[in-house]
Amino acid sequence: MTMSPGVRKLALAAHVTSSVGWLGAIAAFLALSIIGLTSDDAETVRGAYLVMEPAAWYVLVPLAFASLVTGLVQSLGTTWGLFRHYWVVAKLLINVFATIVLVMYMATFDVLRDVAADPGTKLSHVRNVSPALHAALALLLLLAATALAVFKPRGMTRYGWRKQQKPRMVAPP
Amino acid sequence: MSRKLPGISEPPLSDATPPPIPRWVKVFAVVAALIVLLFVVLVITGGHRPRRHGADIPALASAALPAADAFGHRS
Repeated sequence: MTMSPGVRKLALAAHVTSSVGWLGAIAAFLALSIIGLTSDDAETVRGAYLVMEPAAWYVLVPLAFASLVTGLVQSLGTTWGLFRHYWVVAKLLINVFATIVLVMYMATFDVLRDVAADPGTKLSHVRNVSPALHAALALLLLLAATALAVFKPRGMTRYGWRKQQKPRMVAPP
Repeated sequence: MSRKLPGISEPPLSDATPPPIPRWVKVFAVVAALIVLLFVVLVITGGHRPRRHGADIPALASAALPAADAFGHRS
């Protein structure tokens, strides 16, 4: 299945937009996490942890799935394929892993929100380094995926190699 | 330093030979395996609750809500 040039451009634009948008959203979460850890203002600290859960549901999760789906469309609809080149496989693994961890981490955002919403909880208990740590690690993963997409390092899988050989073998001498 | 036997040489890289796995793929595979292993160990041992990274989350989080798994998942 190969897309027409117009559809391919559209799919590429959707993939780049969602992937870079996800990266930017994680950078914003890292900033929010640092504000939550360092601010002296109690309302700002509580507000930072309160806003993380809904913002993650409305921004991070949709962008993660959009990046994954558009990436699958982009690879399956072009000659790159999904399992023909190592860099595509590596990007897929990074994307799937980051999405799984994000979905599992949503429960942690719930806990942080409930703790921040309780006025009886001390500010020192509201502050938590976990979101900053996860955002920093996610940022590294997505930067690696971006680098793979930009540089497209050489390397064809055995499957890709076999696929490449097939047309030659069936072609008449 | 390895000595090559007379008449025996490296097989030529032809269309009949699958391409070798690049070094960056091997490095990536090792790093990915370590990250996944760490992730699985943290999930299994339950050492990944939110309170482990920072100050203890007070009674509210543990008492008012159902028990959480390693990632704070509520049942």
